Amino acid sequence: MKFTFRSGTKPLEGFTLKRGVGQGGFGEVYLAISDFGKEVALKLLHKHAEIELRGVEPCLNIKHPNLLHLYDLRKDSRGNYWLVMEYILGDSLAGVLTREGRGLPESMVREWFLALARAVNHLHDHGIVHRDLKPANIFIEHGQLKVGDYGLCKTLSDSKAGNTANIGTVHYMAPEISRGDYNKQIDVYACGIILYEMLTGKPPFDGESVGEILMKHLTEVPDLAHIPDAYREIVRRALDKNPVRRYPGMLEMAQEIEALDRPKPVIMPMTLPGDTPIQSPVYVRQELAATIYRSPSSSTSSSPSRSVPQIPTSIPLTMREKVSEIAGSLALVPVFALATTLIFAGLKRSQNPLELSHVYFLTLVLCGSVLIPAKFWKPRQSGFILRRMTMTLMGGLIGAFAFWMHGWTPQPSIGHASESWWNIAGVAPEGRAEFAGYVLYFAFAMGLVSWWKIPTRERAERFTLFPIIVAVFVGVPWMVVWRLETPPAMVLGSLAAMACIVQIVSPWQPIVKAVPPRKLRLTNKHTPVPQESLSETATH
Amino acid sequence: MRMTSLFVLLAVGVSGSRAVAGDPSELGAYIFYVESGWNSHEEDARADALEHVRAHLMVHLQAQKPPIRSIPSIERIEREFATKELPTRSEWFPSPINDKMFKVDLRGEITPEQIRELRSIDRMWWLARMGGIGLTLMVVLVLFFRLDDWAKGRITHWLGLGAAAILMTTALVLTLI
Repeated sequence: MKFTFRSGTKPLEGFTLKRGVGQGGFGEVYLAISDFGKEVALKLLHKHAEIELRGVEPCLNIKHPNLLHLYDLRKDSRGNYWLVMEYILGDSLAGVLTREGRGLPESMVREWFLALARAVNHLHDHGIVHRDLKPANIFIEHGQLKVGDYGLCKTLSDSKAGNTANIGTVHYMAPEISRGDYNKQIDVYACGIILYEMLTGKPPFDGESVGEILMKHLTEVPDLAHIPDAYREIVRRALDKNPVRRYPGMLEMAQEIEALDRPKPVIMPMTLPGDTPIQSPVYVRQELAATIYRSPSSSTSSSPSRSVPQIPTSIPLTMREKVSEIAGSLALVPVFALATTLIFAGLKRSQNPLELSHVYFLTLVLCGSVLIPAKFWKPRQSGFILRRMTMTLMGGLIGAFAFWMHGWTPQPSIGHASESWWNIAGVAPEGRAEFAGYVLYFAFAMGLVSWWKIPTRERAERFTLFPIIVAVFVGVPWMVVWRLETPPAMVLGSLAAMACIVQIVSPWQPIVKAVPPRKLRLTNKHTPVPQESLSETATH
Repeated sequence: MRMTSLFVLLAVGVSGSRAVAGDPSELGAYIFYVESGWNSHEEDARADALEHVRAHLMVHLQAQKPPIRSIPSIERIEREFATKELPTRSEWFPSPINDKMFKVDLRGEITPEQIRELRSIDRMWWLARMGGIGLTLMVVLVLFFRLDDWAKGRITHWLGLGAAAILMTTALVLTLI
């Protein structure tokens, strides 16, 4: 992404830009730091600034724990408007949903949706329609949900104005938007879509073009077959084509969700209209506990095997950071590859520099082929089969590389028709068995194991012997099958060394598995937690 | 490299030694015979013959497709590539030499496995150079990002120029080695 300002510049008095973090229809967002060290998000309103300004002004003094705070609206020396916002250290709901793929556990959906409903209800109470509610505008910071991007916020009094262009995200657009009708019902509809997506992992209406999706919003009945029974009626009502038949507001919708008969980790009473909850330490603790507490009994029967998603704790890396990180890892690989080669030499009592060079370079190539995809492939994203096939293909190429490294060279030869593919590969007859051995071994070894998951930043442990054991386990059968003159110990050693090195050189960020205090967990199982006990636990 | 081999052949030719024959064997090995020039000491004659084996090997390796640049050392040639099948010849040379002179005949042989090994050494050197360039690239990238963050983007262009200069210099040096 190309940003107008580069890092280190100070286009707005009092703030130094650290880096660009996003671009939207209404401008660019930067992470910036104030002269006194406060990290903020700065949004440059250079596109559609007038529309944006009209939307932002009423929101500046709104405070809610589930709304992203807008600190100020400033104007720089060039006349550009900058929105100074709270900087969120976390992932968006869209990111979480993308990672999970098949929706979230019901308990988590319930807690997060209630938080979303509180935030949107608070906006409505202040006469503001968000108009651009979507998972990409909802952020999760330390387990707490925050609604952001007030760019399209609009006061209710303006909702019938004629300047309402078709702006917003088409997947979450209510049918009445096509008629220019922008009241708070469109937020109810968008929340219904988001609820559907949280439960199933995908929006109800999809298509290949904007027109197709819009037409589905207007005409098609959403498929509720994959929605859990308890939520089906709620989603159906929220997604009704007729805004009159929808919930009159977010409060009513949230009340129905709250009333669902299921174990409640922590009771979080819905705020009454106009009643702004105060973010006290107890409140935060209560909500955080509610979000992170996932007892086995609280999960519903519809998805018993679904694992609980981890609370996103890391900031999604920019391309620059990814490149920097991978360069750092790759720069360390030669050092550790040298160490493992020396260990190999000691174990095998080999003093043959050529053999050790083969081990060294093979280890380097293997590490690179695992580290680079691992950095760019998001964990738990779809496309598993494709990744396996890619890794298998890469393994085959590494096998060919090992073969090439051993001095074999393509030799054009005239053979029989049945040998034509060998001729294309240019492999001499005496090297064919070795070629097949290398290619099949590495294709098998790379394709069988999900190596790309080992060096991910958010892994359970900094270093584990498990991948090395797997490498040995994968290699030993081939050593038995592969009765060739080439030393299988070399390829096996390289694979094991790779399994070790990629863990060492990859940055590690421990997964936060926050568990509420024992006392809180015990009380959660039976009764709502009294405020006093929460206060007590919060102070420990 | 080809010039070097011609020079070596020329030098060996001056000493009087010559290749006698060169034929591939049934197993694919390349076999050739060399003899040294007349030398006053047997060791000198042997060294002369070994040099000739080396030169012969160099030409043969250069003729491979792709050409092989790695040439085994004299010690390795003596150990693995050359065998002495005939006894050392000696003759009395009259005046003005008035001395006993020696000539050594050697049989040289290089197998396809040995050619592959030498080619593999070639490739290891190539990989080492490429690895060096790659490592430099990674280190330069890391330093560039760190320094740019540290300087808060004030000297990005200068850092970019410096990084490019370091990379180009490294690539040039490693390519010329």
